[in-house]
Amino acid sequence: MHIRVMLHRGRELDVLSQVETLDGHQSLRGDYEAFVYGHPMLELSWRSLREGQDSSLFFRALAVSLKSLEEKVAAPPLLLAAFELKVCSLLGFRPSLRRCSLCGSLLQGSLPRFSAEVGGAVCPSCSPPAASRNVDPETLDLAEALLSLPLKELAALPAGPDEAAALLRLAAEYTESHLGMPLRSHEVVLRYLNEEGKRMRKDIDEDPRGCGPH
Amino acid sequence: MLYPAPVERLIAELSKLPGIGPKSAQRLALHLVKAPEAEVESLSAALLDIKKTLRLCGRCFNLSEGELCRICADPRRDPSIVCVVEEARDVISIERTGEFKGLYHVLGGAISPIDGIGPEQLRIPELLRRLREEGVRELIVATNPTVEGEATMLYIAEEARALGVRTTRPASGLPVGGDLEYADEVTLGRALRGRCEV
Repeated sequence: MHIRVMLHRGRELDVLSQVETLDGHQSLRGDYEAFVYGHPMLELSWRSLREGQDSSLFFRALAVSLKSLEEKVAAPPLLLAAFELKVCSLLGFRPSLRRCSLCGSLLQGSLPRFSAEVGGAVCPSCSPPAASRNVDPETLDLAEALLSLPLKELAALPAGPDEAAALLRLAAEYTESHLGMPLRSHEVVLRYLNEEGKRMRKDIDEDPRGCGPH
Repeated sequence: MLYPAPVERLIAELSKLPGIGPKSAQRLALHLVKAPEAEVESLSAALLDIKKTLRLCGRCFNLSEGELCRICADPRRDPSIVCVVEEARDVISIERTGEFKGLYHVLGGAISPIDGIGPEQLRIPELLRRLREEGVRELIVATNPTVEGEATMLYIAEEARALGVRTTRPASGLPVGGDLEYADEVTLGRALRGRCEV
Protein backbone atom coordinates (compact mmCIF):
# COMPACT_ATOMS: atom_id res chain seq x y z
CA MET A 1 0.00 0.00 0.00
CA HIS A 2 1.40 3.40 -1.00
CA ILE A 3 0.67 5.89 1.80
CA ARG A 4 1.44 9.47 2.73
CA VAL A 5 2.03 10.05 6.43
CA MET A 6 2.17 13.17 8.53
CA LEU A 7 4.60 12.99 11.43
CA HIS A 8 4.98 15.31 14.38
CA ARG A 9 8.67 15.51 15.27
CA GLY A 10 9.22 14.25 18.77
CA ARG A 11 12.31 14.43 20.96
CA GLU A 12 13.08 10.75 20.56
CA LEU A 13 10.31 9.21 18.49
CA ASP A 14 8.08 10.95 15.94
CA VAL A 15 4.31 10.83 16.47
CA LEU A 16 2.19 9.61 13.56
CA SER A 17 -0.68 12.08 13.28
CA GLN A 18 -2.27 11.27 9.89
CA VAL A 19 -2.09 8.55 7.24
CA GLU A 20 -3.56 8.83 3.75
CA THR A 21 -3.74 6.01 1.18
CA LEU A 22 -2.28 7.07 -2.19
CA ASP A 23 -2.56 3.69 -3.89
CA GLY A 24 -4.07 0.56 -2.40
CA HIS A 25 -2.59 -1.57 -5.27
CA GLN A 26 -5.92 -3.35 -5.59
CA SER A 27 -4.88 -5.33 -8.66
CA LEU A 28 -1.74 -6.58 -6.92
CA ARG A 29 -3.90 -8.02 -4.17
CA GLY A 30 -6.07 -9.78 -6.73
CA ASP A 31 -3.32 -11.32 -8.84
CA TYR A 32 -1.35 -14.24 -7.40
CA GLU A 33 1.51 -13.95 -9.88
CA ALA A 34 1.97 -10.23 -9.18
CA PHE A 35 1.81 -10.98 -5.44
CA VAL A 36 4.60 -13.54 -5.72
CA TYR A 37 6.87 -11.28 -7.82
CA GLY A 38 6.11 -8.19 -5.72
CA HIS A 39 7.33 -9.74 -2.48
CA PRO A 40 11.07 -9.75 -3.21
CA MET A 41 10.73 -6.03 -4.05
CA LEU A 42 9.29 -5.43 -0.59
CA GLU A 43 11.74 -7.72 1.17
CA LEU A 44 14.71 -6.13 -0.57
CA SER A 45 13.49 -2.67 0.49
CA TRP A 46 12.93 -3.84 4.04
CA ARG A 47 16.31 -5.51 4.39
CA SER A 48 18.52 -2.99 2.63
CA LEU A 49 17.32 0.28 4.17
CA ARG A 50 18.30 1.53 7.58
CA GLU A 51 16.28 3.79 9.86
CA GLY A 52 17.05 7.45 9.28
CA GLN A 53 18.61 6.81 5.86
CA ASP A 54 17.42 9.12 3.03
CA SER A 55 15.53 6.60 0.93
CA SER A 56 13.16 8.73 -1.16
CA LEU A 57 14.70 7.55 -4.48
CA PHE A 58 14.50 3.96 -3.33
CA PHE A 59 10.83 4.25 -2.37
CA ARG A 60 10.03 6.03 -5.65
CA ALA A 61 11.61 3.11 -7.51
CA LEU A 62 9.58 0.68 -5.38
CA ALA A 63 6.29 2.53 -6.02
CA VAL A 64 6.94 2.69 -9.80
CA SER A 65 7.93 -0.98 -9.92
CA LEU A 66 4.86 -2.14 -7.99
CA LYS A 67 2.64 -0.04 -10.25
CA SER A 68 4.35 -1.54 -13.35
CA LEU A 69 3.81 -5.01 -11.93
CA GLU A 70 0.17 -4.19 -11.30
CA GLU A 71 -0.32 -2.86 -14.83
CA LYS A 72 1.69 -5.75 -16.31
CA VAL A 73 3.77 -3.40 -18.47
CA ALA A 74 6.24 -6.30 -18.96
CA ALA A 75 6.67 -9.91 -17.84
CA PRO A 76 6.81 -10.04 -14.01
CA PRO A 77 10.23 -11.83 -13.89
CA LEU A 78 11.71 -9.03 -16.03
CA LEU A 79 10.20 -6.33 -13.81
CA LEU A 80 11.55 -7.99 -10.68
CA ALA A 81 15.02 -8.51 -12.18
CA ALA A 82 15.06 -4.87 -13.36
CA PHE A 83 14.03 -3.62 -9.92
CA GLU A 84 16.75 -5.63 -8.19
CA LEU A 85 19.53 -4.53 -10.56
CA LYS A 86 18.39 -0.88 -10.46
CA VAL A 87 18.24 -0.96 -6.66
CA CYS A 88 21.76 -2.42 -6.49
CA SER A 89 22.90 0.51 -8.65
CA LEU A 90 21.08 2.97 -6.38
CA LEU A 91 22.90 1.48 -3.41
CA GLY A 92 26.24 1.89 -5.20
CA PHE A 93 26.71 -1.68 -6.50
CA ARG A 94 26.00 -1.29 -10.22
CA PRO A 95 27.05 -4.58 -11.84
CA SER A 96 29.60 -4.51 -14.64
CA LEU A 97 27.95 -6.34 -17.53
CA ARG A 98 29.70 -5.12 -20.69
CA ARG A 99 33.25 -4.95 -19.32
CA CYS A 100 35.27 -7.38 -17.23
CA SER A 101 34.85 -6.57 -13.55
CA LEU A 102 38.54 -7.31 -12.92
CA CYS A 103 40.51 -5.81 -15.88
CA GLY A 104 37.88 -3.50 -17.40
CA SER A 105 38.26 -4.82 -20.95
CA LEU A 106 35.23 -5.04 -23.26
CA LEU A 107 33.68 -8.53 -23.32
CA GLN A 108 33.04 -8.62 -27.09
CA GLY A 109 33.43 -12.04 -28.68
CA SER A 110 34.58 -13.81 -25.54
CA LEU A 111 32.78 -16.39 -23.43
CA PRO A 112 32.32 -14.57 -20.15
CA ARG A 113 31.82 -15.89 -16.65
CA PHE A 114 29.75 -14.22 -13.96
CA SER A 115 30.74 -13.59 -10.38
CA ALA A 116 28.43 -11.58 -8.15
CA GLU A 117 31.25 -11.39 -5.61
CA VAL A 118 33.62 -9.40 -7.86
CA GLY A 119 30.85 -7.23 -9.33
CA GLY A 120 29.57 -8.87 -12.52
CA ALA A 121 31.06 -10.35 -15.68
CA VAL A 122 34.66 -11.62 -15.82
CA CYS A 123 36.59 -12.18 -19.06
CA PRO A 124 38.25 -15.59 -19.68
CA SER A 125 41.77 -14.08 -19.67
CA CYS A 126 41.41 -12.84 -16.10
CA SER A 127 41.47 -15.74 -13.67
CA PRO A 128 37.82 -15.92 -12.61
CA PRO A 129 37.10 -16.57 -8.94
CA ALA A 130 36.11 -20.10 -7.92
CA ALA A 131 32.53 -19.02 -7.24
CA SER A 132 32.05 -17.75 -10.83
CA ARG A 133 29.88 -19.51 -13.41
CA ASN A 134 29.37 -19.47 -17.16
CA VAL A 135 26.91 -16.90 -18.38
CA ASP A 136 25.28 -16.46 -21.76
CA PRO A 137 26.46 -13.16 -23.39
CA GLU A 138 22.82 -12.53 -24.38
CA THR A 139 21.80 -12.67 -20.72
CA LEU A 140 24.42 -10.00 -19.95
CA ASP A 141 23.12 -7.79 -22.80
CA LEU A 142 19.57 -8.18 -21.55
CA ALA A 143 20.63 -7.42 -17.97
CA GLU A 144 22.34 -4.24 -19.19
CA ALA A 145 19.09 -3.30 -20.97
CA LEU A 146 17.14 -3.90 -17.74
CA LEU A 147 19.46 -1.47 -15.99
CA SER A 148 19.30 1.28 -18.58
CA LEU A 149 15.72 1.14 -19.93
CA PRO A 150 12.64 2.55 -18.21
CA LEU A 151 10.31 -0.23 -16.98
CA LYS A 152 7.58 0.50 -19.54
CA GLU A 153 10.05 -0.29 -22.38
CA LEU A 154 10.99 -3.72 -21.04
CA ALA A 155 8.10 -5.42 -22.85
CA ALA A 156 9.91 -4.79 -26.15
CA LEU A 157 13.00 -6.77 -25.08
CA PRO A 158 13.57 -10.05 -26.93
CA ALA A 159 13.25 -12.13 -23.77
CA GLY A 160 11.07 -15.25 -23.64
CA PRO A 161 10.28 -17.20 -20.45
CA ASP A 162 13.69 -18.96 -20.42
CA GLU A 163 15.64 -15.73 -20.87
CA ALA A 164 13.50 -14.00 -18.23
CA ALA A 165 14.19 -16.87 -15.81
CA ALA A 166 17.95 -16.64 -16.47
CA LEU A 167 17.85 -12.87 -15.88
CA LEU A 168 15.93 -13.28 -12.65
CA ARG A 169 18.42 -15.86 -11.38
CA LEU A 170 21.32 -13.56 -12.23
CA ALA A 171 19.68 -10.56 -10.54
CA ALA A 172 18.77 -12.63 -7.45
CA GLU A 173 22.32 -13.98 -7.15
CA TYR A 174 23.83 -10.51 -7.52
CA THR A 175 21.40 -8.89 -5.07
CA GLU A 176 21.86 -11.53 -2.37
CA SER A 177 25.64 -11.38 -2.73
CA HIS A 178 25.70 -7.61 -2.13
CA LEU A 179 23.05 -7.72 0.56
CA GLY A 180 25.06 -10.37 2.37
CA MET A 181 22.03 -12.52 3.05
CA PRO A 182 19.50 -14.59 1.11
CA LEU A 183 16.04 -13.16 0.48
CA ARG A 184 13.46 -15.67 1.67
CA SER A 185 10.97 -14.57 -0.97
CA HIS A 186 13.45 -15.49 -3.73
CA GLU A 187 12.98 -19.18 -2.87
CA VAL A 188 9.22 -18.88 -3.34
CA VAL A 189 9.60 -16.91 -6.60
CA LEU A 190 12.11 -19.38 -8.06
CA ARG A 191 9.87 -22.34 -7.10
CA TYR A 192 6.93 -20.56 -8.74
CA LEU A 193 9.02 -19.91 -11.86
CA ASN A 194 9.94 -23.62 -12.04
CA GLU A 195 6.31 -24.70 -11.60
CA GLU A 196 5.14 -22.26 -14.27
CA GLY A 197 7.88 -23.51 -16.62
CA LYS A 198 6.75 -27.11 -16.06
CA ARG A 199 3.12 -26.14 -16.59
CA MET A 200 3.94 -24.33 -19.84
CA ARG A 201 5.99 -27.25 -21.14
CA LYS A 202 3.10 -29.60 -20.30
CA ASP A 203 0.65 -27.32 -22.16
CA ILE A 204 2.96 -27.30 -25.18
CA ASP A 205 3.21 -31.12 -25.12
CA GLU A 206 -0.58 -31.47 -24.85
CA ASP A 207 -1.49 -28.82 -27.43
CA PRO A 208 1.49 -27.56 -29.47
CA ARG A 209 -0.75 -25.17 -31.51
CA GLY A 210 -2.73 -23.43 -28.78
CA CYS A 211 -0.06 -22.82 -26.16
CA GLY A 212 0.80 -19.43 -24.79
CA PRO A 213 2.07 -17.85 -21.62
CA HIS A 214 -0.29 -17.97 -18.59
CA MET B 1 20.24 -13.06 40.60
CA LEU B 2 17.56 -11.32 42.69
CA TYR B 3 15.23 -14.28 43.26
CA PRO B 4 16.05 -17.88 44.24
CA ALA B 5 17.00 -20.01 41.21
CA PRO B 6 13.60 -21.85 40.85
CA VAL B 7 11.73 -18.51 40.73
CA GLU B 8 14.22 -17.08 38.19
CA ARG B 9 13.72 -20.20 36.07
CA LEU B 10 9.92 -19.83 36.23
CA ILE B 11 10.19 -16.15 35.24
CA ALA B 12 12.42 -17.09 32.30
CA GLU B 13 9.95 -19.76 31.13
CA LEU B 14 6.90 -17.50 31.49
CA SER B 15 8.67 -14.72 29.54
CA LYS B 16 8.72 -17.01 26.51
CA LEU B 17 4.91 -16.87 26.25
CA PRO B 18 3.42 -14.47 23.67
CA GLY B 19 2.48 -11.09 25.16
CA ILE B 20 4.30 -11.74 28.42
CA GLY B 21 7.20 -9.39 29.15
CA PRO B 22 9.68 -9.73 32.05
CA LYS B 23 7.52 -7.65 34.42
CA SER B 24 4.36 -9.66 33.76
CA ALA B 25 6.35 -12.89 34.04
CA GLN B 26 7.65 -11.77 37.43
CA ARG B 27 4.13 -10.93 38.61
CA LEU B 28 2.78 -14.31 37.45
CA ALA B 29 5.70 -16.18 39.01
CA LEU B 30 5.22 -14.48 42.38
CA HIS B 31 1.48 -15.19 42.21
CA LEU B 32 2.26 -18.88 41.69
CA VAL B 33 4.73 -18.83 44.62
CA LYS B 34 1.93 -17.62 46.88
CA ALA B 35 -0.83 -19.84 45.39
CA PRO B 36 -1.95 -23.05 47.17
CA GLU B 37 -0.09 -26.18 46.08
CA ALA B 38 -3.27 -27.81 44.69
CA GLU B 39 -3.84 -24.85 42.36
CA VAL B 40 -0.27 -24.98 41.03
CA GLU B 41 -0.52 -28.76 40.55
CA SER B 42 -3.76 -28.33 38.63
CA LEU B 43 -2.11 -25.74 36.36
CA SER B 44 0.92 -27.93 35.77
CA ALA B 45 -1.29 -30.96 35.02
CA ALA B 46 -3.32 -28.88 32.52
CA LEU B 47 -0.12 -27.78 30.76
CA LEU B 48 1.18 -31.34 30.50
CA ASP B 49 -2.23 -32.58 29.39
CA ILE B 50 -2.14 -30.29 26.34
CA LYS B 51 1.01 -31.94 25.06
CA LYS B 52 -0.03 -35.50 26.02
CA THR B 53 -3.61 -35.61 24.74
CA LEU B 54 -3.91 -32.93 22.09
CA ARG B 55 -3.12 -33.63 18.44
CA LEU B 56 -4.21 -32.46 15.00
CA CYS B 57 -7.33 -33.91 13.41
CA GLY B 58 -6.34 -36.41 10.72
CA ARG B 59 -8.86 -34.93 8.31
CA CYS B 60 -9.02 -31.14 8.81
CA PHE B 61 -5.95 -30.42 11.01
CA ASN B 62 -8.03 -28.70 13.68
CA LEU B 63 -7.00 -29.31 17.30
CA SER B 64 -8.35 -32.65 18.42
CA GLU B 65 -8.28 -35.14 21.27
CA GLY B 66 -8.78 -38.16 19.02
CA GLU B 67 -8.09 -39.22 15.45
CA LEU B 68 -10.89 -36.89 14.28
CA CYS B 69 -11.91 -33.57 15.83
CA ARG B 70 -15.44 -33.20 17.23
CA ILE B 71 -16.57 -31.32 14.09
CA CYS B 72 -15.32 -33.94 11.63
CA ALA B 73 -16.75 -36.71 13.83
CA ASP B 74 -20.22 -35.07 13.99
CA PRO B 75 -22.55 -36.87 11.53
CA ARG B 76 -24.88 -33.83 11.43
CA ARG B 77 -22.26 -31.70 9.66
CA ASP B 78 -22.47 -31.33 5.87
CA PRO B 79 -19.27 -32.79 4.32
CA SER B 80 -20.03 -31.28 0.90
CA ILE B 81 -19.11 -27.77 2.12
CA VAL B 82 -15.61 -27.13 3.40
CA CYS B 83 -14.45 -23.87 4.96
CA VAL B 84 -10.71 -23.18 4.69
CA VAL B 85 -9.13 -21.16 7.51
CA GLU B 86 -5.55 -20.19 8.34
CA GLU B 87 -5.40 -21.27 12.00
CA ALA B 88 -7.36 -23.46 14.44
CA ARG B 89 -8.49 -20.34 16.34
CA ASP B 90 -10.36 -19.21 13.19
CA VAL B 91 -12.51 -22.35 13.45
CA ILE B 92 -13.68 -21.18 16.87
CA SER B 93 -14.52 -17.71 15.51
CA ILE B 94 -16.69 -19.17 12.73
CA GLU B 95 -18.28 -21.73 15.03
CA ARG B 96 -19.33 -18.91 17.37
CA THR B 97 -21.49 -17.43 14.59
CA GLY B 98 -23.58 -20.63 14.50
CA GLU B 99 -24.07 -20.01 10.74
CA PHE B 100 -21.84 -22.69 9.28
CA LYS B 101 -22.75 -26.38 9.28
CA GLY B 102 -20.06 -27.79 7.00
CA LEU B 103 -16.54 -29.04 7.73
CA TYR B 104 -13.26 -27.15 8.01
CA HIS B 105 -9.72 -27.35 6.71
CA VAL B 106 -6.96 -25.63 8.69
CA LEU B 107 -4.05 -24.56 6.47
CA GLY B 108 -1.57 -23.75 9.24
CA GLY B 109 -0.86 -20.22 7.98
CA ALA B 110 -0.95 -18.22 4.76
CA ILE B 111 1.34 -17.92 1.76
CA SER B 112 3.96 -15.37 2.70
CA PRO B 113 7.02 -15.24 0.43
CA ILE B 114 8.73 -12.73 2.71
CA ASP B 115 8.78 -15.46 5.38
CA GLY B 116 9.75 -18.11 2.84
CA ILE B 117 6.28 -19.71 3.02
CA GLY B 118 4.93 -20.92 -0.30
CA PRO B 119 1.94 -23.21 -1.00
CA GLU B 120 4.15 -26.27 -0.35
CA GLN B 121 4.66 -25.29 3.29
CA LEU B 122 0.90 -25.19 4.00
CA ARG B 123 -1.67 -28.01 4.07
CA ILE B 124 -2.83 -27.21 0.54
CA PRO B 125 -1.94 -30.62 -1.00
CA GLU B 126 -4.06 -32.27 1.74
CA LEU B 127 -6.93 -29.90 0.91
CA LEU B 128 -6.75 -30.73 -2.79
CA ARG B 129 -6.78 -34.44 -1.94
CA ARG B 130 -9.95 -33.89 0.12
CA LEU B 131 -11.54 -32.04 -2.79
CA ARG B 132 -10.76 -34.97 -5.10
CA GLU B 133 -11.83 -37.74 -2.72
CA GLU B 134 -14.64 -36.41 -0.49
CA GLY B 135 -17.19 -35.12 -3.03
CA VAL B 136 -16.91 -31.50 -1.91
CA ARG B 137 -19.34 -29.20 -3.78
CA GLU B 138 -18.40 -25.85 -2.30
CA LEU B 139 -15.20 -24.49 -0.81
CA ILE B 140 -15.44 -21.34 1.31
CA VAL B 141 -12.01 -19.76 1.57
CA ALA B 142 -12.11 -17.80 4.83
CA THR B 143 -8.47 -16.76 5.00
CA ASN B 144 -7.78 -13.39 6.62
CA PRO B 145 -8.40 -10.33 4.41
CA THR B 146 -4.69 -9.47 4.51
CA VAL B 147 -2.47 -9.38 1.42
CA GLU B 148 -1.10 -12.84 2.33
CA GLY B 149 -4.54 -14.27 3.14
CA GLU B 150 -5.97 -13.05 -0.14
CA ALA B 151 -3.07 -14.42 -2.16
CA THR B 152 -3.64 -17.78 -0.46
CA MET B 153 -7.30 -17.55 -1.40
CA LEU B 154 -6.40 -16.81 -5.05
CA TYR B 155 -4.04 -19.77 -5.20
CA ILE B 156 -6.57 -22.17 -3.66
CA ALA B 157 -9.42 -20.83 -5.82
CA GLU B 158 -7.45 -21.51 -8.99
CA GLU B 159 -6.56 -25.05 -7.92
CA ALA B 160 -10.16 -25.75 -6.80
CA ARG B 161 -11.58 -24.40 -10.06
CA ALA B 162 -9.37 -26.83 -11.97
CA LEU B 163 -11.04 -29.62 -9.97
CA GLY B 164 -14.52 -28.26 -10.75
CA VAL B 165 -15.31 -27.21 -7.16
CA ARG B 166 -17.32 -24.03 -6.60
CA THR B 167 -15.21 -21.60 -4.58
CA THR B 168 -16.61 -18.72 -2.53
CA ARG B 169 -15.30 -16.30 0.08
CA PRO B 170 -17.05 -14.58 3.00
CA ALA B 171 -18.33 -11.07 2.19
CA SER B 172 -16.25 -8.19 3.47
CA GLY B 173 -17.20 -4.61 4.17
CA LEU B 174 -17.89 -2.06 6.85
CA PRO B 175 -17.77 -3.10 10.48
CA VAL B 176 -20.94 -2.75 12.56
CA GLY B 177 -20.77 0.56 14.44
CA GLY B 178 -18.03 1.85 12.11
CA ASP B 179 -17.74 5.27 10.50
CA LEU B 180 -17.64 5.74 6.69
CA GLU B 181 -15.15 8.60 7.01
CA TYR B 182 -12.50 6.35 8.51
CA ALA B 183 -13.02 3.36 6.20
CA ASP B 184 -10.13 2.72 3.82
CA GLU B 185 -10.76 2.71 0.04
CA VAL B 186 -10.28 -1.04 -0.35
CA THR B 187 -12.83 -1.95 2.34
CA LEU B 188 -15.32 0.69 1.21
CA GLY B 189 -14.95 -0.38 -2.44
CA ARG B 190 -15.65 -3.99 -1.51
CA ALA B 191 -18.61 -3.01 0.63
CA LEU B 192 -20.12 -1.14 -2.33
CA ARG B 193 -19.49 -4.00 -4.76
CA GLY B 194 -21.11 -6.45 -2.35
CA ARG B 195 -24.10 -4.20 -1.50
CA CYS B 196 -27.46 -5.89 -0.89
CA GLU B 197 -31.14 -4.97 -1.03
CA VAL B 198 -32.67 -3.53 2.17
